[in-house]
Amino acid sequence: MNRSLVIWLAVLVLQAIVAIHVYTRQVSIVSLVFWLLSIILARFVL
Amino acid sequence: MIHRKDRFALIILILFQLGILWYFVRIPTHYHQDEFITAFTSWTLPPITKLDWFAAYPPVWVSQFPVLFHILQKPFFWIFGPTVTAVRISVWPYAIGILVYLYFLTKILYSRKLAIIVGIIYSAFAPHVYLSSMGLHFISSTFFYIAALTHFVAGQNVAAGIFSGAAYLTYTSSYITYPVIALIGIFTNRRGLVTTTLVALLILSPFLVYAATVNNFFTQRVSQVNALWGTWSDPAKQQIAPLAIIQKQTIDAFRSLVIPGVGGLGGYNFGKLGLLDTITAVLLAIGFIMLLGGAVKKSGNRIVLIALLVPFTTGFILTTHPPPFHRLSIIYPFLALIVGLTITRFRFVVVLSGIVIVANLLHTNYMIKADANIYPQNSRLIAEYITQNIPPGQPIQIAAYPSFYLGQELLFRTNNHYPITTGETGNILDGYRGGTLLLLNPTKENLDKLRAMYPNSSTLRSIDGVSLGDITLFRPVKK
Repeated sequence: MNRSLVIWLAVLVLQAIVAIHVYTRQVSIVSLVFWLLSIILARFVL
Repeated sequence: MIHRKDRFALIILILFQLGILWYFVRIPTHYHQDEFITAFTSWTLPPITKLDWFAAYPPVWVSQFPVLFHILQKPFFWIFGPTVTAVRISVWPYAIGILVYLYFLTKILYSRKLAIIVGIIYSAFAPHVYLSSMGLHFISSTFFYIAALTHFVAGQNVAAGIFSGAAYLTYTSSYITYPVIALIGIFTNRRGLVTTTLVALLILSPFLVYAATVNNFFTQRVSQVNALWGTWSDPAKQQIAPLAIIQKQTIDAFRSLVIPGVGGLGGYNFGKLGLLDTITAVLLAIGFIMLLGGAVKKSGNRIVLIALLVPFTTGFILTTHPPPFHRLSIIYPFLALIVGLTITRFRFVVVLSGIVIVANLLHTNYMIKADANIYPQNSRLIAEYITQNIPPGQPIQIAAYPSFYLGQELLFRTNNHYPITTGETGNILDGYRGGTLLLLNPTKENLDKLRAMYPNSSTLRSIDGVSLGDITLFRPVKK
């Protein structure tokens, strides 16, 4: 599979995890780490 | 990689900027209570493992903002302690950042020579120095706005997206960042705009989820301060026709730039003077006409015009009256840029720049001096009284309501050397067993009770002949 696509999917999965955390109010440093990771990964795709 | 010449110019500019800020930071009468409310929010932020990262703070204030500014401010209190100086120094990274981005934006759009002149003028630019010499979070909006624009103009679309997203995680004035970038991008860089948009959305997505499900802080401030239907807008409440509101506010917005007594809102009085001194205002007017004249040929002029006029309209004309100088702060760098553009058209660039710098520094001084008679000085005097007359460690109680700002301000003014309790008047008085007491609008009955309990007490309604306003200071012993 295309490397960029894999990274992009990873970005989306991480963002989804963060969104679920925020939605369910289980906001913690874990969701922050996922959020930062998704931004860093996006740098490789875009 | 930054060119050697740019690096040298920037070091000189930054030192010049910090020197000017340091001078005005130290004027004791120059302050705003919002500095301390903001700083107190940062100081009392929960530990990073317990923090609600995507929520809005503080929960008790009239408006909430994301934690980004507070997270970045808190380390300054670890380093310098909770002091007034630390509150002010905590915004210096933004001031330096704005200067650096303004330099590079001007260099990209025009030339290095103009970048240096604009950097010098901005460092002394009166409205900027007035506001940035306090520890207010408006400066972060200006930073994210100019950072996003500079990266976008430079073709660095991911960085532009990061700063565009961050522009929504601070004060509302920078919410205009993405529309401005989109407007510029549609005409100049559509492909880059797609990348910038995706990154900005990525940054914002968890905050949008929070806003959609818990507390929509994105629209909260806008629905308060917009002129046409905002809850804080008097003309809107009086059901004045929108066109009449816009017409009046547009005229006043331009008048307030030079005419005293027109602009300044929410305690951000700017001495109740015009925003600009006469010399700078004339140069700005000439520069604006030049900018318009060259807008067809030069894309740089078009970008500056868009970056200037869109926030001027949405943040200055279309928000609550009188013209709010502090909400205009995101375009201060662009005003300085236009003044610089005018100066370079004349022969004696150095002399003219010198005159503009002196005029701006004098104007800043006039504004701050005038403020000393306009802005209530009671909290400063109370803090001075406490530090001079009460031994450190003695409790201070404030009878008002739990979120009353005074205790938050005193914490920083007394370097956290006194345990301060703020609460409902009834609760504080019920549990009062001596110690310094500050009362907000005390009733005669309450004061009589206190005096009966402590016959040797002293009650202060003024210090050094200056009224304490709605505050009364009570001590159970004579001074």
